[in-house]
Amino acid sequence: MRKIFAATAAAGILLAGTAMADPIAERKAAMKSMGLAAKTIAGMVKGKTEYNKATAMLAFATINNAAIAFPHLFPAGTETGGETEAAASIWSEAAKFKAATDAFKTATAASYTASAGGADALKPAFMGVVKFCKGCHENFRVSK
Amino acid sequence: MRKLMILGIVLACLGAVIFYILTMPATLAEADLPKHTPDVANGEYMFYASGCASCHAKPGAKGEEKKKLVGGHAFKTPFGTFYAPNISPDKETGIGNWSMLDFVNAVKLGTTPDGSHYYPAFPFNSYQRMMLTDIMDLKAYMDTLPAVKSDIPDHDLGFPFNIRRGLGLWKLLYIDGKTYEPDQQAKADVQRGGYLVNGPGHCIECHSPRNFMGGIIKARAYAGGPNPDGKGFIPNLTPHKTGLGAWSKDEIAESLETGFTPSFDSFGGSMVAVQENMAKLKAEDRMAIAAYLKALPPIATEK
Repeated sequence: MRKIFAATAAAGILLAGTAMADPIAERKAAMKSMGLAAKTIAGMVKGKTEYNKATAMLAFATINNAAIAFPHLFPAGTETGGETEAAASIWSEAAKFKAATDAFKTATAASYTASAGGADALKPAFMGVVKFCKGCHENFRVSK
Repeated sequence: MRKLMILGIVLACLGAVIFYILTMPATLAEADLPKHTPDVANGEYMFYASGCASCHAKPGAKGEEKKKLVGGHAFKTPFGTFYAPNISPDKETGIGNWSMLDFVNAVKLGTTPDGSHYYPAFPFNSYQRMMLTDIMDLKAYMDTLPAVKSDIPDHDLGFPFNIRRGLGLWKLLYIDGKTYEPDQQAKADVQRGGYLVNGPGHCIECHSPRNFMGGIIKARAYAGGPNPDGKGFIPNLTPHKTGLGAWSKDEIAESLETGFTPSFDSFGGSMVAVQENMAKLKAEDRMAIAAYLKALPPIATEK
């Protein structure tokens, strides 16, 4: 029993360790998940695919999840390496960055709720979220 | 010994005279301007196609603030730091006193009203390809924008780049003042796109690598290059698989309209301001730009 407990604890520590071992890879994955989710929603907004409540909400939940994780994915010491495209301004203008990520979190949560409201509600919910992409990438990402 | 010294002095003087002649700023004369009543609406269109506000508005300006061309944007380049000047119609600190000819000479040939050279951080290397009538219309539109005062620092450059006269030599290599000549065999949209991309759009300035003199390496035009103003790499626009090869014409045009790539990444950095200008153009012009880019020779990215 003690052995199992120790093994579980070790695994837990290991997991927790790997969870934050590579914030650069994690934020890239978070970005990618947002891109995929946005693409899914855009298809419905443009009428390429039909509105589906569960899919829409899942996509917005994905974006909201990434938004919640975001402020924690840029710890000191991850300014460079791993082909990161993060700009130095994330750390040198930390207050501005925090304000931007906070606003993004609020907006994505609101859009998640709104996306349940049918096809007509989807576009405004989408626009409320995507305007943040460029805004942040203009100031906080280097050209690539 | 004395003879040698005299010879040395004579050669130095001769060299100075040759330098002086070679580096004389080129200008057009009043008679070179076509008889043309400026079209302010087309000037506004050219204002967005040329992206003037992206560099000359206050850094970070949005919306109406972008029409106040106070300058001040700092460009940190390998040659030193350039500061974008005030080009609002303010008579003291802007260009409110400029004649039409002054404006044309600045944009087309990079020559200042008092007969000196501009640094090519101002992309006259591309603007020289613009039609004179478009440049004249642009001036007419810019005259309607608010006059604002500002105090912009001088460029901060090391030797020898701080000697403006020397730019005359650079211009001998890169500036001929010839308006864009499209490939007559190409389709009409490719021709129009070529004009927008090579002239007002000045896409080549960031999307191509430069040599040690800051000149664009023609053989690798549009194949992407290190960011001339800071960190990062500016993407390859040619239809190679390492560039825009996988993007359809529609996707290129759409990205210029929305700011999203086909995989729903968003444009970032200075391309955001560019994209917001491109979104103001007619849909057919964004399609023309896409058609031209897809018709470029494919070149692999070299990082």
